[in-house]
Amino acid sequence: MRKFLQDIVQKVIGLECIVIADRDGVPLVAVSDDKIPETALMSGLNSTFGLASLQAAKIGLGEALTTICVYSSYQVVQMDLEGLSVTFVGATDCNTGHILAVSKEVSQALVELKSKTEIDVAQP
Amino acid sequence: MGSSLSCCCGESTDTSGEADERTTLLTDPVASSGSLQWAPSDESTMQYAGSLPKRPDEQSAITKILHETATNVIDVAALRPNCMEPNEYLEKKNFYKTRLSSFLNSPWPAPGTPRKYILRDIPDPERVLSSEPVSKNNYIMMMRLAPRVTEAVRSISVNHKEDLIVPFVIP
Repeated sequence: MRKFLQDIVQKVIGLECIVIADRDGVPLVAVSDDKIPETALMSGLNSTFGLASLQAAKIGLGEALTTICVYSSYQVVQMDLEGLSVTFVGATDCNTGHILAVSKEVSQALVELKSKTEIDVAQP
Repeated sequence: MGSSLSCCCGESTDTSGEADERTTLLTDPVASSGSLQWAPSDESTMQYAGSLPKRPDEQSAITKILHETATNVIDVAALRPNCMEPNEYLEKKNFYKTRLSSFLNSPWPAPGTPRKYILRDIPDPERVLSSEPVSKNNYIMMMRLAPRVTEAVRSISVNHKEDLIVPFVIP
């Protein structure tokens, strides 16, 4: 599984890391080509997406499934897949469409990952 | 008047069962509470003559409005990034780490799973495209053999020795 994510990071040019976290922002998996930036693992970054999405839903446009934020040196693509928050951090010139296409592959793996955590929660 | 009202409000939920000129047609909690409160019947007016207007109704209505407003308002300041206790966070993190370690180290997709696509992504196409082309000898051999292989594939045919259509025994 980790290898699979690692391959994705290498495959998508400019992608730096993938962080899969639960709704509270606690990271389950974090893979990176190089060193993972500390900020990407901050629980604030991962948990705020869910909250912000809920708040933004009140505008009346429905709940956002994906947010793409492009900063001066990085872009952050966050999405809610199978109840888990997935964060892709890449360079500004990274192909965003490629990240979105790859997220479909990731979501299949997340079903399994999610089921593993649910079973674990049931048996503390 | 009373009789006509009672006809209109035949299905009202009045507890007294009697309708008079003071009976409210609507049972809105906000409208029915406050200083202009209308009692459902004479009996209850007598009973609660000296008491205050129905406070709980008003209070619950206000609470309801407040609650609805609170859920509908977009409060950016309330988006606290880290609402978890640090030790709880670490505990959960370690929990995930121990539980998922075996799954994370196992191959994914599971070996034997058929590939979904024939084409696959390559990390850097430049390296593949700039690689050494096929040698001339190999190319000549391929060109020589390809028509023969095609010929061989075309000549494959089924040589049947029995009837291809067998009639079933139908009574």
